[in-house]
Amino acid sequence: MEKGIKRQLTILQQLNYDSLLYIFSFLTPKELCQLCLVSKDFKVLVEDEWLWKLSFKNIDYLFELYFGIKYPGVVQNDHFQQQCITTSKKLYTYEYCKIEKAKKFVGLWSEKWCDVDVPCGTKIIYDGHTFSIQYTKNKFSSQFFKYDDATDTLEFFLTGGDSGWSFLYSLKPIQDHLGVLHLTVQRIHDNTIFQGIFVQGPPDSRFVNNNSNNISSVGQENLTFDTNLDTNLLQYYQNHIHTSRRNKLTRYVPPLQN
Amino acid sequence: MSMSTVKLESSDEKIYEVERDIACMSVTIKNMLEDIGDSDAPIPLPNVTSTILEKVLEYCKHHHEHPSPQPEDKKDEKRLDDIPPYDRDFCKVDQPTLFELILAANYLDIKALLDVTCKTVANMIRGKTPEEIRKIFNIKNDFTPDEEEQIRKENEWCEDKGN
Repeated sequence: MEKGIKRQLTILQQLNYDSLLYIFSFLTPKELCQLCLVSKDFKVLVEDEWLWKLSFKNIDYLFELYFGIKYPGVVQNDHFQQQCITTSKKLYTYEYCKIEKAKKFVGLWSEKWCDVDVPCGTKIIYDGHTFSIQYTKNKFSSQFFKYDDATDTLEFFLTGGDSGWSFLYSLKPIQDHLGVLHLTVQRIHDNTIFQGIFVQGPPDSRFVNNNSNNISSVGQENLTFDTNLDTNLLQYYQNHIHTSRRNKLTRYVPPLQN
Repeated sequence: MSMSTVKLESSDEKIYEVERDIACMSVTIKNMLEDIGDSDAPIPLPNVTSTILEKVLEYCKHHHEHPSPQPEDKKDEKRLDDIPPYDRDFCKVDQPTLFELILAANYLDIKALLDVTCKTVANMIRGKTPEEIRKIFNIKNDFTPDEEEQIRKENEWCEDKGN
């Protein structure tokens, strides 16, 4: 009789709060989110602060994996303040989304636009707060300008080179093409716009850090774009980019900072 | 009574004489024994029925005789696919028994048993849709369609990203 009654009880009636939390602690954040949809009681349990504080181990791991650095903790900048983050789950979500966005840009990149074809020349680094750019080819110096969260676009300046010209590079991830970024180059002195692509260098290029400046040591000097691009991407490049020039486009030119 | 054994009394007043080392795999019992000193009196376990206590003692006896190696890397402590064959078979019980084992392991503070039973339940959840989870645990969906949609929106950041 007693056993019959127990069979009718649900997991929430049979187990105490702490035991349920301990069970959920073996699940990933993604699985916890699935559990939120089971019932109202499950949602309350799954949004417990302890569980999500525990999940920050995953953020530590992802920082190591994608950026090669220790998780520096939450950066309370203006964007963070605007989010009204009041729970550990929301904080986790915020940090996770930040990683997801940043990881698409971080690494060693080769560029192709107009007649420019530079293998493994640009290193993009993320420190948990902002990006920095290292450009090591053709005597250019680089300067990170901004990352636009709404458009998922990263911009940086290149100045110097043999011509002394300056360029504004805008990078945007291409859907369904990991390791490839759509590039828009604005030549600043005449506002000429070029389209191109960034293709990620060797796989271990994600693990770059500020102390490692010797890009040529990765042995990719002979990297060519054709061998790294799959057929779909080549088609994308031909259809959408094709190095077309649109002269004298009106575009806001931000002041170049030293 | 030999000093190498202790008596444990279940909630339904059954008494079990077990080796002290086996009983002390429970931190709760170990602490009780330290508190009361040498005594012949059975240790009352009012939260554990005889059926469950027998299962717990069976588990402790097995692991006392077959100690498992300590995991080298704590990074893997969240793994769900590392349940040893004996433990996996041990947890092949009906849901009420499994839940009672969890409560007993929690009360008696036997971490290995708590981990394996909780991992078994976590495995029942892993990879399932909310509807499948409701079926497994006999839970009623008490969300309105609007509420469900709102929660989906809140959690869409983690969809299909394999985090």
